[in-house]
This record gives sequence, structure tokens and C-alpha cells, in this order.
Amino acid sequence: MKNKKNFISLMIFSVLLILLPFIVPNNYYVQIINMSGIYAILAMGFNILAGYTGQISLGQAAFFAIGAYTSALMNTVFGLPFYITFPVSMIVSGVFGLILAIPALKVKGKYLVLLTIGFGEIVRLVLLNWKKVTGGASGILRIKAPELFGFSFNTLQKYYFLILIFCIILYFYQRKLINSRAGRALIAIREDEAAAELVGINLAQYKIKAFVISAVFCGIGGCLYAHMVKYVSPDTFRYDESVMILSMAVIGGLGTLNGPILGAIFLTILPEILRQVGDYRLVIYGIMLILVIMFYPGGLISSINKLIMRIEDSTGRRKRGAV
Amino acid sequence: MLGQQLANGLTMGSIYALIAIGVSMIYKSLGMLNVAHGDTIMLSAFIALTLFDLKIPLFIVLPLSIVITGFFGLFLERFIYRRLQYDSFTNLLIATIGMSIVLRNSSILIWGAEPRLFPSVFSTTPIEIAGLKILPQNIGIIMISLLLVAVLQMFFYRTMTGKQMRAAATDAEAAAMMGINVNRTRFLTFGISAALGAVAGVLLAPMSYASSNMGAMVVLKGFAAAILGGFGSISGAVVGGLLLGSIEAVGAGFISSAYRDVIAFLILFIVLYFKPTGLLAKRIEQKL
Repeated sequence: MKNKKNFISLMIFSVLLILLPFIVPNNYYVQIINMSGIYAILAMGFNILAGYTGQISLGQAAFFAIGAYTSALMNTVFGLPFYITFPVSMIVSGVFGLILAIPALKVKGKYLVLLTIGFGEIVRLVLLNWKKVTGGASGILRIKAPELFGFSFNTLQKYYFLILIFCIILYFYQRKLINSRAGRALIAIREDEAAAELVGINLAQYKIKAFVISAVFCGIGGCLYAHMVKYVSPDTFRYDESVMILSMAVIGGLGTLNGPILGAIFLTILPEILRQVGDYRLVIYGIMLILVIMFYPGGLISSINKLIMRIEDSTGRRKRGAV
Repeated sequence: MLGQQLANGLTMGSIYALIAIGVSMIYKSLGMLNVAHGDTIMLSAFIALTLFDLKIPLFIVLPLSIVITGFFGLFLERFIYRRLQYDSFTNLLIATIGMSIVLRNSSILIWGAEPRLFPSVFSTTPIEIAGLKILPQNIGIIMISLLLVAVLQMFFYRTMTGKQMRAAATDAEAAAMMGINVNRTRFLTFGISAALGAVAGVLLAPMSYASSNMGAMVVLKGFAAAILGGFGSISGAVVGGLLLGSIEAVGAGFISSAYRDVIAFLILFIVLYFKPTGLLAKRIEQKL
């Protein structure tokens, strides 16, 4: 009974996901949906690092930037196609994840937050000032749309499916990771480092792993972003962007599988909904951020779960009462 | 040339020191990384500008805006931060991030997005000291900051309230058992920290412009200075600030001024790598 119900809701959900880019009125909305998909990838990556391993990073925008710039440079300078720029962006951002992990292993809490902020700023400032390679503040233009097996993802609708596929793959990857031995080791590190070390978990190895995986997620997001928007500039990858990624994961529910995705969608769409209030948009956005944290400290997902449980509870009781 | 850069560096460094004291005070007593501190800096500059537009003389405007910003800090603690759980580092971080977004965008709504010129109390003709041409502004900023640091040191070590605040920051529970009102010390901490940010704001604004994001970068430098100094003591913050300011100024002179900010963050990186608890910290905190 339960399985059948789950299967039906899954089917409805998949059909909705497939129809989504065609239901919305125009391309502008498709762009927003695509952006929330990219942010979902970034937030998932952040969640592995911060939500499961307990290493809070405010430098995620740096990896996002590295992924985007790697793709952009390889595509515009060497004319390499997507199926090469994509894995290379993954590798390059992973290597930078490793570089950040080495000093990050030594620090915790506020020191880690500030170290990662510093890392993010260094990357952004280098992109901004290394004009010969990165084009400075004007960025890199004319990045081509990806082409796979002779199929070109040249419209936003087609691109939506590319992002969707990556979202699904990465979602199942993180789920598998968290439910594996490695995932349990990461959670143990989050809960108590000393105890984790005492039971034989290699702290350095798993922390490095978490840093690299989360950097690779951001690199994938960056590559997808560069090929979609077809333009990158250092202005996109400010410290505010790292803050945004953190807010998404926390608002959605840090340390849960679905929470960060929910948070990414919520925080990408919210400013667009608030467009109607014009100039007050960002002020209200900030206030809502504070209110959500004040009233739902466990994130939106925890309150939704509670709601679902309550509904199931009450319907169950009614049925029992009827019988 | 080197002396000139050093003078500029020490000037910025003393502003970093004020910011570093402000953020580490809040971190020690509330366990909170106050990202919105940069917006407090901006707020005081704009409050001062508004008062100045009302034709109030500058020497009244500056202290007045510092006091107003201080009260604003008290208000934030009482009505917003106190309602949050103090035990969750990320939730507090998000709350200050939200506050930062609110303050920055409100300032754009109220005062506009255009940077505005800020009047200076100091004359612009440089004075010659030992062959160096130094702006009176630089000397003034360094003197004011050092004076303020001395006053703070006196307050924290000589007065009852100051001692209570230090006790509550070291161990809130034990302090509460000794009869110290921890809520009150946290409240005061926020006020003093905001006022310190306000001083930094009115000192900084004449050197650049008053703009909605004037505090964004300096607050990161303030954090970096706090880390260099070990995130705790006032003297540490001062040493960290002055060190950061002078290294980045001299480094920018040798390499390129475009990389000034990169140099500051590289120092942070290197210090955290070799000495994760800062240059002046005595021991490594470790809880089991």
C-alpha cells in the first residue's frame, strides 16, 4: 500500500519535473529554474562539507568561480567542447579543494570560516587582476553552448534537462556517500572529532575527502553556469555568493539530504517573487532570512517533515476512528 | 617612499584594530561571528552625513553618530539576537548575514547607491616630520585609535562593569553563578562593539567615500587582524591590526597596489597554517 502510494507520487513528481520548463510562461522563468538547479548543486556540495562533516566554509564561491573560469577559458581560448571542459573543471576545482584542505585541516570554527573567506577573496581578486588570462573585470565572453552526441543544448529549455540530469546524479551520489562507511565517518567527525579519532577514523583523510568532493560539486555547478550564461566575470563570484550558498543549505536544513535543494529553490525564487515590492526586495529578503532562522532553527525541511507527519497522523487516526 | 607607505599602513592598521576589537568582543562573549559589523561601520558614516546635512557642526556630529550607532547595537541585541539560540554557530552566522543584507539595502533605500563625499576634520596640507610628508589625518586617526584603545583597556581592567564583562565572556555559566547578569554584559558588549565600529566608520569615510558597501572589505580585514592577534585580547587586536595594515601597505608598494587585498588574505592564510591560533595566542583551545 505504502509502496504503491510512493510510486504514484514519484511518477507525478517526475512528470512535473519534465513538464516544468514548458509550463512556465517565458524564458525568463526557465532561466530562474535553471539557476535554482545550479544552486542546488552548489548547496549539496556545501552540505557534504558543512552539514555532514561540520566544516563550515564561506569560500564556496571560489570553487564555483574556478569551475566556471576553467570551462570558459578552455572553451574560448582552445575551443574545447563541453565533454572535455566538464571533467577538466571537475579536476581543477577538486585540486583547489585539496589546496584549501591542507591549511583547513589545522583549524576549526571561526578560524576555518575566516580561512575560507580569505581563500574566496584571494581567488576573486586574482581573477579580477590577472587581466592577461582572465580578462579582468570585463570577464570572458562568448562561451559556447554545450553539445553532446551531436545534440546541442542551445536553448534554456534544453539546458534545463542537462542541469536536471546532473542534479539527479549528484543527489543520488551524495545519498549513497552519506549512507556509506565514509558518510558515517564524516558524521562522526561532525559530532565529535576527538571521539571519531579515538574509534580509528582518519580525520585528515576524511576531511580532505569532504573538501575535495564539495569543491568538485561547485566546479560542476560552475561549468554548467558558464556554459549556460555564456559569460563569466569576477563580480558573480563575490563573498556574497558564498554567503548565499551557506544560507541556502541552512535555511533548507543543514545536514539533511533534501533540505539544501529546497533551500536553493526557495532562496532563488524568493527574490523574484519579491520583485513586485521593487526596491524593498532585498530588505525583505534579509528580514525573511532572519525570521526563518529565528522560528525554524532546524531549517524549512524539518518543519515540512513535521507537517507531513501531523497530516499522516490525523488521517491515520480518522481512518482508525472510522473502522 | 617606504616611510610614506608605512604611515598609510599604520593609519589603516589602527582602523583595522578598532574593528578587530569590536568583532572579537562579540565573538568572545556571544560565540558569534558578526558579519554585520561592516554595516555598522557604514551606518555611522551615513548617520554622520545626515546630521551634517542638518547644518550641525562636525565636532558634534561625529560623537553623536557614534552614540546613536552604539544605541542601535544595543537595540539589535535586545530585540533580535537575544531571541536566537546562542548555541548554534551557523544559525547566529545566518542571522548576522540577514542583518547585513537588511542594513546594506536599507542604506541604499535611504541614502542612495551613489558614494558620497565625507567631510574631514583634519586639514589636507601635509606636515613634514623627519623628511616624511605625513597627512594630519593619518596622525589624527592613529592618535584617536590609540587613545580609544587605552580607554577600553582601562574600562575592562579597572571598572567593575568591565571586569564583569570579561568574566562573562570567559565563562558565562560560572559568571552567572557569581551573580553577574550575563544578559546585561552581552547587551553592553553589543553596544560597545557597535560604537567602536562607528568610530572606525567616521574615521574611514573621509579617506574614501561613504557608500553602502564601504564596510564590506574592511570588516574582513578586521577579522583577519583579530585572527593575527589571537582573537581575544585588546593588545592582540591592536598588534594584529597595525601589523596587517603595514604589511599590506608595504607589500602593495613592492608588488602592485591591485594586489593589496590579496596580500592581506595571504598573510591570514600563512598565519593560520603555521600558527592556527594567531600570533599572540598562548595556548590551543581543545575541548574533550
